[in-house]
Amino acid sequence: MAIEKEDYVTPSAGYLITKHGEFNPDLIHKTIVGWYEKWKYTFTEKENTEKMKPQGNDLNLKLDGERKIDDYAEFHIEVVILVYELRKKGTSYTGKIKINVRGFVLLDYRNNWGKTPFTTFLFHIYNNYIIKKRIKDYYEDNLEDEVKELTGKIKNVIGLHD
Amino acid sequence: MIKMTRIYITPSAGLKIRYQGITDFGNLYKYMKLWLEDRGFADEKKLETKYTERRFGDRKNLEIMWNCSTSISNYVSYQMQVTFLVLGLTETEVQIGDIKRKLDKGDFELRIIGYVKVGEGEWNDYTFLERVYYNLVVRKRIEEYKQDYYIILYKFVGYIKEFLGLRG
Repeated sequence: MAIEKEDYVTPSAGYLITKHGEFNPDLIHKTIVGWYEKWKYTFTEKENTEKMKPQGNDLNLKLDGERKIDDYAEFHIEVVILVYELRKKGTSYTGKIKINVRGFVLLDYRNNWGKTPFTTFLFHIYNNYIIKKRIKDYYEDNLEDEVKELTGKIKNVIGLHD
Repeated sequence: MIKMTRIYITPSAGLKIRYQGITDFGNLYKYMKLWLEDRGFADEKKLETKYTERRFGDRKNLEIMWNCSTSISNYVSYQMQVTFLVLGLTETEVQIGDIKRKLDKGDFELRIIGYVKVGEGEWNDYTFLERVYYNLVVRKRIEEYKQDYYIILYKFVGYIKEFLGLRG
């Protein structure tokens, strides 16, 4: 498969973690933000929504981290957290949670290539033939390890097997 | 040659904070304004560019826009746009301890866009020496400005989230 500008290491729809039961959304948020900081990602909280409902609150959090690797590639890890029917139970919470993690390598993040059809063609050749090995063995492998570590931490904190 | 440019530190559509529930909107509005004024981003007269209220019976919708900025040097300024969209705002009484308080119930959405504006006016307005200074000195400091503004903007976002009782 050809390497595109956004080179995904997860399914492009994301890696899905779901749980119905007990979890602590504050701790999940803290864990993810802490992980981004540890790995020196620039962190953006794109959305933070909370709706108060009689059956329990709904939450929607969109977190985005980006890290420049060199002049050509940037790692992106996006986490979307959806929580339904969140109710406080003692010191913890119960509800339904869906966490979606997407990771991709953004190539040519400075947009030097792809301005004309010819440079787009060169961009394709460069990625798919000249530096293909570097993309596969270095960028993708490293990002995949980081995504796995993050999903592992998230699963751990919501009490799932990793 | 560098063009006059906006360097976004939020997504260009902005950061979205949404809360559906009960809060003291009057105080939120006031405290946000004070926060920006205290940090030199706004003055009372220029801050608000739009305030629209639409009434539907006892409910009202609000659309408020703020444009604020603080100048760092002749070439660089931090710009922020804040948009409030409040839907179905009604007054409600809430018992807090022994006191009954009137608060606001509704769907509160805030969008915050922040960017570093590099260069004021047209490039041709600058003298030769200013252009040289810009290319040799200012350009190298852009990363520092971005980091500095990122910290300020997220403190503001944190302040709003804390007021609304949101997570994170």
